[in-house]
Amino acid sequence: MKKSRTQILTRIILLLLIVISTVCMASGCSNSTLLDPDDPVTLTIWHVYGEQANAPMNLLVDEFNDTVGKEKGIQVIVTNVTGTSKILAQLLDAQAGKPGALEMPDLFSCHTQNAPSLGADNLVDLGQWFTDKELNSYVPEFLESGMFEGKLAVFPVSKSTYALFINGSQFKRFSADTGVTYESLSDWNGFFDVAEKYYNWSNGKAFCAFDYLIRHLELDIISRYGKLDYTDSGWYDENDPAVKESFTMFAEAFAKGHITVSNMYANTQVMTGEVPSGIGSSAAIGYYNDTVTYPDNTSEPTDLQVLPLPKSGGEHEYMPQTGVGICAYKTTEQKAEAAYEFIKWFTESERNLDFVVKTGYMPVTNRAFAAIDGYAFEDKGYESLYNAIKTMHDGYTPIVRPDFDGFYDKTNALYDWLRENQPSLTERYQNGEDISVLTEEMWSFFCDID
Amino acid sequence: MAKISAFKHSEWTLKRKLFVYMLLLAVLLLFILASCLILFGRTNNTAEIYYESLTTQMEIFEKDVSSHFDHLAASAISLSENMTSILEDTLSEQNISFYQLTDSKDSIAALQSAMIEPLRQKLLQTNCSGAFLMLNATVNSSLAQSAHSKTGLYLQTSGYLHSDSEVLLYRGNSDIALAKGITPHRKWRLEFRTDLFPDYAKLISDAAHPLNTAYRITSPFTLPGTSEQVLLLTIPMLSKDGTFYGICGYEISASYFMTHHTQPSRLAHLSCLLATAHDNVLISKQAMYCGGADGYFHSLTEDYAIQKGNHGFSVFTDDIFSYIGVTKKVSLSSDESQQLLVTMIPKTDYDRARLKSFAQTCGLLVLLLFFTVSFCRFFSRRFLSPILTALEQIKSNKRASSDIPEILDLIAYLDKQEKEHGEALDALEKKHQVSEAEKLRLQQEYESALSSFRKTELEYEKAQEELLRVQKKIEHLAYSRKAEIDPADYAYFLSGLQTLTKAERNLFELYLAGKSAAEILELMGIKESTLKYHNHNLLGKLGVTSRKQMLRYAEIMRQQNEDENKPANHSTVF
Repeated sequence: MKKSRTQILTRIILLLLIVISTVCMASGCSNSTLLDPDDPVTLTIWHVYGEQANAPMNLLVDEFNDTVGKEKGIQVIVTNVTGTSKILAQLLDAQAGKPGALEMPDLFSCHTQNAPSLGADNLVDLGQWFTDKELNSYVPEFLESGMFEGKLAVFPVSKSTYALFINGSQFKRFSADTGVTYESLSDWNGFFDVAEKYYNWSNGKAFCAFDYLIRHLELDIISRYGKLDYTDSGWYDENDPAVKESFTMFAEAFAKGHITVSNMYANTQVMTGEVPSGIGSSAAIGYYNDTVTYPDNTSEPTDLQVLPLPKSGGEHEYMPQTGVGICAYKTTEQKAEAAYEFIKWFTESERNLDFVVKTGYMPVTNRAFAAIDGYAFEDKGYESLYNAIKTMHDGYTPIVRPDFDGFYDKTNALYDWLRENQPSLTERYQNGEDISVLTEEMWSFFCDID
Repeated sequence: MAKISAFKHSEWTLKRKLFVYMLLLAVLLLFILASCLILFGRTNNTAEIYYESLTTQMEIFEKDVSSHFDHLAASAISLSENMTSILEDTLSEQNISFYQLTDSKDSIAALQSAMIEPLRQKLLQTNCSGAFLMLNATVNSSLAQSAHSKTGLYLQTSGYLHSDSEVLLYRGNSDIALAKGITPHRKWRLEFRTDLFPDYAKLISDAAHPLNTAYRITSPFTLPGTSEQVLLLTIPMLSKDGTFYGICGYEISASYFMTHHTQPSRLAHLSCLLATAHDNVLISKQAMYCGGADGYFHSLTEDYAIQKGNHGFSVFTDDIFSYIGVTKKVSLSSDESQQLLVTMIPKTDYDRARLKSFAQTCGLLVLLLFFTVSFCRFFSRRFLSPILTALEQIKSNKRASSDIPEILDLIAYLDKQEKEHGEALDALEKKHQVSEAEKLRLQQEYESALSSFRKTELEYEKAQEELLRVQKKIEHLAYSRKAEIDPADYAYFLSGLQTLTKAERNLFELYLAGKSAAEILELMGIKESTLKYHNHNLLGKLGVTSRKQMLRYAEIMRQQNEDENKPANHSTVF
């Protein structure tokens, strides 16, 4: 009798164990996430959205941590806010474990062309985490730009282009005195004409500082001549007459002092009153001061006006498509899933729109792009920027420029030379030297860079 | 009482008794273990563990922060002295007084040009995210806001990197900065705004020698134009005679504090705060944060009420979140102002840990109970099984075998007993058989004796009948011979009876009773010669010649007496 009772008890326990195991397995199957709200995973992130200025990205990270992050068990910590020109070197230092370098982050902003430096195998293929339905909501060209070695390694979160930023307060006075208008800046001919007038009006000040002068040369050549070839070493072909013609157009204005190259970013020269305008990344709007301060400490509101890039007058007008995406450094599957959750949240249409309109970027989802039209901007400068972007989006062709190994070193060498030599070039021009001599001198240096 | 009596239940099986004793032993050992752990302080509850951890964390954090600000203060004193020296030298070179600096654009530019490189070096050498000097002068006093506008230099580095030599100009002459390779900050301004500078008026009023008592710490504030929270360590720039030149010092940004004060910690979600205490309210926007080396920390965004909690904790609550932690007031500046250091964790972590601890304790107790009962059952069974098996074998008269020496001894003892009992039984059996034989024999003897007795009795009856017949014959004979007896002889006989001695009388009676001579010798214990003597005398006194004659006279006498005494009951002849 006792034996049979023991057997019954054993069977009941076994049955219970089977039921519990089945329930656990069933719940595991229905929720196969590696994330646990009770034991959150930490993701460190380096980004380039807000260096030296208000950082909307940081605010979004806080929002994520307090909402979805808390719910799913993900905490994102910003451990570095830097610039696009510096982040690769810092990442490589971190990856190499150099003394003084920060820990390698789990997420980071990165240009697609820089990602191979970190090793394709070291980056999470985010395309494996996003479903096809999710991926279909993104602008296909943006997704394509993040692919390399068959992997979606650089996920687009925002894209930028170039725009013309103008100190509206100063231009208003200039316009009142000379009759020039913003429409005068719609093409390069009008632009250089205005620049010359401003130079004369301001007693020798450049009208515009260029952040990426060489890119405008490229866009002008492609627009007017339909193509641009590069040498094997990734520089411009000095034998291409289109290159020299376009170069000369910019070189003349530069040598005369009508335009200049920026001290890294044009907004610096705009806010100090050194120049009334600058051409640079649309994302630079976050760094444009709302006030222009002159050397005598007088100041005035910047009244920022943003215009589309001047047209070249070719068959097609082109706008550059730049901007970094987000990469996830491959560590654990749990972190990969957490990265996917963060990026998905971060690029949801409404949030993506909120983010990009505060940072001067273009959204990456089709819905967000469509929603810009009705967006209520708090700042007129931002409204002006997105009007310009929309104008370009409607009338220009986005184009991604190639980025060869060592290309930035060459362009920086050119910019440094131009900065160094502009005062003497301008002086020589004012002293009556033929402009063609000066532009030839510049062309010679340009060709020697290769 | 019923339970106690149940424990004493004598009918409990050996197995149950052993199980209960083992269980009691296990419980007793556990009790002793628990008592010892408590006695020697080896048991800590979750609250104590967390309080100790947070307190230890606070000590580390306090040392870290105090040490940092102490070094910062020392460097600030040096900075003030150096910048004051440069200022005075430049003024001397320019041949102007300090007060003539205002509106002197060139002199200010010359001064900034002289100061910017030493300031950058100080910035890079010091553990901080920015270095500044703000002079009590402005480049253009004619402006409406000139009362609040002060010239100076403010240099910054990235707060995140340990070794980022790239310096930005946040305030100051951008041309001078650019000439030195220093890029203007994107929220650059030419001059400082004192109305945006925290506690500027008080800093001026407190500005006095000696410098080692003149440095101050501002509350964290948002750097104008940016989203970066910073706090400043300020120190006045004073001439030897106490003229106030301005303020210089260092900046600690939130990102710098977070990166460079990361605490070694085993607490998963530790937040460490350097804050300003305001009447039991923690204002999160006026705080610097850092976390543990691993894991994340919450960046607080609301204001939290500070309340005293249990176990020494402070509890920080807002409408949604709650934290527990410990606080400590420290003075990082040379005045009486105090800063509040906080080490805290989310209360949910603490509650979860407590729940986990409770569940673990319960689980441990259940496991201990389970294993104790199981082991007690197992070992009691294991221990008793061979004994019980052996007992069963012994009971069932099978050939018992065991590997327990005591059982083997018992079996040997029982075998011996059995053997002895067998022998005793055999002996008794034999004895019984002997007794039975004896009984049979006695029975046979008895039956033989009885048969003999019955035969004798028949013979006796026959003899009696014969005796009666003989007596009747004698009587008949006596009567028939009575007439033949001489009366004189008979009379002599009767008179001779009166003369008999005692011995002769006994002898006469024995003869009369029919005893033989041999029987008389035995009964009287006399020799035959004596008997003959007495016979002789007896016969002589009775006047008879033989015993036959004597017995005839005696019979006659008895019949005479019976005849005379017939109505009377005469028991004896005489």
